[in-house]
Amino acid sequence: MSKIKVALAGQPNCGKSTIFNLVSGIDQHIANYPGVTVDKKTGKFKYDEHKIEMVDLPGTYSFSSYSLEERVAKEFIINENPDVIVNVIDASNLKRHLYLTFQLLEIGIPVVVVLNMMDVARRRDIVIDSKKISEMLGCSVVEASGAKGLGGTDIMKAIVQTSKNKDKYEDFSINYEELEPHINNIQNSIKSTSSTLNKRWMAIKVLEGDTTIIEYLEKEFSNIKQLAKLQEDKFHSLHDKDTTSFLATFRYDSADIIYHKAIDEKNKGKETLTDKVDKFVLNRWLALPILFGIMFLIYELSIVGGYKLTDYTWPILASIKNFVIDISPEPYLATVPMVTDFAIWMINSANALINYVPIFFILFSLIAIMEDVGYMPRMAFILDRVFKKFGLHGQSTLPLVLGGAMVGGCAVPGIMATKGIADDRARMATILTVPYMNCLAKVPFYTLLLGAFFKPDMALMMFFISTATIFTALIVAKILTSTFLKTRETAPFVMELPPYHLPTFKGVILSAVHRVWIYIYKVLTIVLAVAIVLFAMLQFPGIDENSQKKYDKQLEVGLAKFDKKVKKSKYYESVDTKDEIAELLNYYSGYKSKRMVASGKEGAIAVDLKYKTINENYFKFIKPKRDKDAKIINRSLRKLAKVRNRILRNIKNEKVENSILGMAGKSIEPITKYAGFDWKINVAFLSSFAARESAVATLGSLYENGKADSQRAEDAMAQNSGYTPLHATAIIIFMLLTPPCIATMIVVKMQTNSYRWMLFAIFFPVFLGVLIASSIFTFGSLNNWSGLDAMMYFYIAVATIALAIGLFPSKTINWKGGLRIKT
Amino acid sequence: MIKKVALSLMIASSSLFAHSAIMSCFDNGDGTITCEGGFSDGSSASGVKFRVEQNGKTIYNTKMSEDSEVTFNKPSGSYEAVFNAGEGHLVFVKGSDITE
Repeated sequence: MSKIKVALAGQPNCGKSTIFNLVSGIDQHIANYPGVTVDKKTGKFKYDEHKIEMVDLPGTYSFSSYSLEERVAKEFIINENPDVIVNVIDASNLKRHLYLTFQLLEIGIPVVVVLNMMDVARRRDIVIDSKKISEMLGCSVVEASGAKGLGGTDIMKAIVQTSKNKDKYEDFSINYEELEPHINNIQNSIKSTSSTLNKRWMAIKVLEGDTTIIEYLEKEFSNIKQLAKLQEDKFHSLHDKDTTSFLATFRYDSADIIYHKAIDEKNKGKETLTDKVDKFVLNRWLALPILFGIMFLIYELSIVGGYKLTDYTWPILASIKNFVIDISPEPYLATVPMVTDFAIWMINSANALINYVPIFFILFSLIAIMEDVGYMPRMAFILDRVFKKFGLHGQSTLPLVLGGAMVGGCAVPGIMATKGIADDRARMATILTVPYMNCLAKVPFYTLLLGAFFKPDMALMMFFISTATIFTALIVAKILTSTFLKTRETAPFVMELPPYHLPTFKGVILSAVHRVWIYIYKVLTIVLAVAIVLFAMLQFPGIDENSQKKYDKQLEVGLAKFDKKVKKSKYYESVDTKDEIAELLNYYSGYKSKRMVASGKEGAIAVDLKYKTINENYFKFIKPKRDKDAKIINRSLRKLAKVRNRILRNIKNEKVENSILGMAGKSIEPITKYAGFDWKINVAFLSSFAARESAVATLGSLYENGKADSQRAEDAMAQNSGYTPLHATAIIIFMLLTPPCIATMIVVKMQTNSYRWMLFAIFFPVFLGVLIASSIFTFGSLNNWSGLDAMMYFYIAVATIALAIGLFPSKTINWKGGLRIKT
Repeated sequence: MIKKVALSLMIASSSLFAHSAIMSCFDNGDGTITCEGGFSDGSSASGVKFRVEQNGKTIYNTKMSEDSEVTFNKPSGSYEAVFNAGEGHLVFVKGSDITE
């Protein structure tokens, strides 16, 4: 069993990843290249008794050292010494791709060339003589169509064959004519190197000025830079040519030779299907409406479809929760063990997050389809002109879309997707603005407030909220890039528009699963860690002695009433001790919660059967039927359960009010009152920072105040709090501007590699949020604005500023360098 | 047009309470029925609208108590209990399925 290490190299959009998916199993591992945020995709699998390790290198146009991807790919070759390099080529664009092929051949490692997208080539009447190419290049050439699933076996066979015959390999070298003496000179100078890499290749790279190789050789030959310069100058003085462009020209010429000898393009210059479609998609007037239409469709599908899926997934979550409750210690009358409280809190937090998974799965699949089809690059192209005005980049599109462009997304995968942005300044700006997009978890919070204060205008308000976010994001991006990020490196936006393709099922699913996994793993671990802290902050120090005594007394009164009534029953013996009553209460509440989860008549019967088996006696008290004595107990049991539940609710409320978080909420009241927030809102915000999903639950439970004329959270808020719609608008605006959750902040830290930026990402939005919410509130109160008015003014202001920046022709200094003499 | 777009956005988002509405009903055997409502994520349903329908007419209309339940007199004949937590959160339980 031999091990074969394979590196997959190719230009961007050649279908490398599709080929990778085709031959490797599902056992793909995505990690980072050490020290950088470039993805390293490795697949390990068996083929025909061989252990294959395949690494999908980042797509690069050439093998110089200008971009991060190129450096990473080169370092992989240097450090990990693959056995075979597989060069994937877009057969419909052969000549351009051959430029990279020659560079790869020169490395001195056997190459297998894969002509991918043969179906597209055939469709365009491009005839390729792969046998001839194979002869000319001296390597295996395999025809394939990754998207159609063709060629996988041939590729693997070629890899194995090449690897087996490695000893017969003869170093590939291009005759560089005038440059040869100089190459030989360098080669001699590094003759004594301990490296196993091809010396001629290294010599050529040195003459090219390749920083990676030069740094690598400098360790052994400290004067390598001078040697190189010497040769370059000599060459230049002899032939009046520059080594780098000379080498490039030679490679292009070589590619040209292959092209003329082995390829026949019958329809050169003819309009392709892609061109035809692009006429509409990239049309000056149609482009944006089409874009919005597609975005809208994506969100509709993922949210409506996702929600339907949750109908099937939540019973699973509910049964997990019931299981957790079952294995936790039982409550005793009105005392709930902290462990149980904690377990319920944790499982509720986890379930709230996991409930979004179906929605995200569909959303990410749709986005993956857009990427695969080739629409995403076009979107980036269309939006780049707009984004540039705000300091962003066409490539900021995907992260912003993932973060929630119209209705809802998640900032965590959004920020993770900023990896690919080459322009440093735009990348930082994108990372810091994705949190402003529409976080899906913020939506229930908005709905709560809208339901309470804006019932008639709910639709309009929601529209304002969803679209205001993109404006604020753009404005903030502009502010950041003009101030804090001014000095960052920028890069030109050069992009290739790949031809349209049908997406592959495997590719889409893998991408969606990968992104959903990021969400689950990152959010779950971080949020749960924070939830633990929050639990402590909401529990301690707990209720004081006097309160506890008060509740104990209430319980005693309830128990006394119970006892008095059930004495009359012949079953009195079964319920005459506190222990028995406690057991019965738990039995009863367990029964009720199981019944809630059970579906339909059969489900109900199943639960009944189960509980009858557990304790036939107690079951009688729950379902007394015609048994008069059992009915007595049943009635009193229900009354007692009510009493107990009320006590539990009141204890919980008091606990929260006295807790650390409660006190924190109270302490910042003097500041937040300008925005109209009282301590309860503050507590809800503070606790929802763990995850926005908790905001509704916390707010809701804070307002559950044991009133006999029971109200829903929203109605309770509307009446109890003394809030006006203006308050609500201020709260909504604050919510809009502040970061979604701690998980997002942690991911910011990861992508920026600095705690300073993470703290900035927390405090800047909060500061902005408090400032604007307070201004709106104070202004609004002075001028007697209604909640809706305030929202509209905010919206108009934000939209106007964004449009102004966008439409204002910006002429900025676009050059650097020169000689500035200080006098 | 804007209203339509916004409305569908809103409908889509209001369903995102991140929970489904649920209800279970019991016949207490003493001429009353108790229905308990809730949400899949455990949030309380107190204050949520509840009604009993018979032959298409509403014969009883109230809100869930602070214990998230309602007790009402058992109607004669066929009826339906409806838990109404808003758009997309309606639960119907047929009287014939409510057993003692």
